[in-house]
Amino acid sequence: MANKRIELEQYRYYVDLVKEEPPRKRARTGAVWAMVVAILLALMILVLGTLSNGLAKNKRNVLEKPPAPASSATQSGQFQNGTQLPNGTQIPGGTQIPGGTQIPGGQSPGGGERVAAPATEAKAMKTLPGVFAQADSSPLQIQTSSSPSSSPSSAPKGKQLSTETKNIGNLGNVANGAGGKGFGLYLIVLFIMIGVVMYLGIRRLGKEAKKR
Amino acid sequence: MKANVIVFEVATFILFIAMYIGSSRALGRVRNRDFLFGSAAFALVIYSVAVAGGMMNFFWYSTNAYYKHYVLGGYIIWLGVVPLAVLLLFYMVSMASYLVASAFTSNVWKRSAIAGGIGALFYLMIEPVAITNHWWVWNAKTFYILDVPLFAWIGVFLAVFAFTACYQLTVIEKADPKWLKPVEDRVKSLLLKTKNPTIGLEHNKLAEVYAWRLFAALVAFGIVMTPVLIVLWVLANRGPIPGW
Repeated sequence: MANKRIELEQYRYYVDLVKEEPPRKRARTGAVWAMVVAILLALMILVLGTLSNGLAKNKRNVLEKPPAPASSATQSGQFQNGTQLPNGTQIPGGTQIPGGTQIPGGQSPGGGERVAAPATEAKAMKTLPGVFAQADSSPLQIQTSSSPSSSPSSAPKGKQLSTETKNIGNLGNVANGAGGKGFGLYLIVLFIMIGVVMYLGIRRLGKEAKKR
Repeated sequence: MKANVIVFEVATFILFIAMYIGSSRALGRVRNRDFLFGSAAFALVIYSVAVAGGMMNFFWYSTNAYYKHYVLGGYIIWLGVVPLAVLLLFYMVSMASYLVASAFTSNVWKRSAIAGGIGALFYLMIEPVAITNHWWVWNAKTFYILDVPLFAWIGVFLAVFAFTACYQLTVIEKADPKWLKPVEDRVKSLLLKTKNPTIGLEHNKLAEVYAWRLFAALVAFGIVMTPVLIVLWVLANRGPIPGW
């Protein structure tokens, strides 16, 4: 009786296997399909990364906070970071700023790209005391938690600890390297590596199929 | 078209469907479903703990002026404090890594290590693009490489390694490792109400064993990662190390 029971248990296991495990050819096709999708995933990241190359070059991008709500953008003639000026806005003194120009440090709510205002406009902004004072003095809010940072208690006395990542720690440094193509090159190298790994997997499956 | 969160999410959903169809053919429907739920739950716990601990967040698009342009906080579907797209991304990465690793070796540990390495390779590509576009934001006091915490790179390898090992041992091989037996026997009899070896279990019971082992894998992941986090945090707070 006990033997019969064991036999039945084993039989049930094989039934489960047949139900769960697909035929070899089908499994191989599926695996190749999944690996091709993985290459497409890497391609998607490459494309999205290329689109955001401009952002990556901004060394302080990752430390930046989202823009302030539009309702509190202007207070008694002062502009906050991230305020976008409407087309043809005149600033006291006669300087006219083209539509969509951003005050340094902020960004337009619609997109992720952070493009600094052209140098001439930036100059014009600097010549307006009071109006852009805030933008000049503290263009960005920096997360003090970013590496290698410290709590005031643990910091050595008289030594100012950096609030920014440095060297390889900062993505901006990599992005600005190789003539501004660092980020693109980094992504392309990784994409090729992933492609090669996936190709090796597909080739291995093909060889196995031929053997059988 | 900008690489904002909506583009990322929609592209991830589309690729997920394609990946799900392919991996269903590769592993079988039931096993693939187990992989999907297992990996999503595994990633959900890790990400939720990371968010709760203030190490990272996914809320950049849901704050201030962005909220008006990206309703529901940028991402469309959330599971608690973690967007679904991020969990599906982990599923796709771990599935691709697992399938490639399976083509090279049949040993569980070697397979998991290769899968972990390939997973880390994927995240080496994903993380910098993600933090550049604020799909998620890292916020921990630690050492950073390419503005991504060092522990995140280590964590990805360990997470894929632990998950694929757990999946392979439980769902594919239905093995009962000796080193797990002392603890697992008690859990099986107390919680799962069975004493049968894993190989003879029906799928429902097997799913329970799988859930318990995923929990054990998460605990093991936590035990390994906690000292890493603490050491890096302590070192980072002593002041800047030249070259970092």
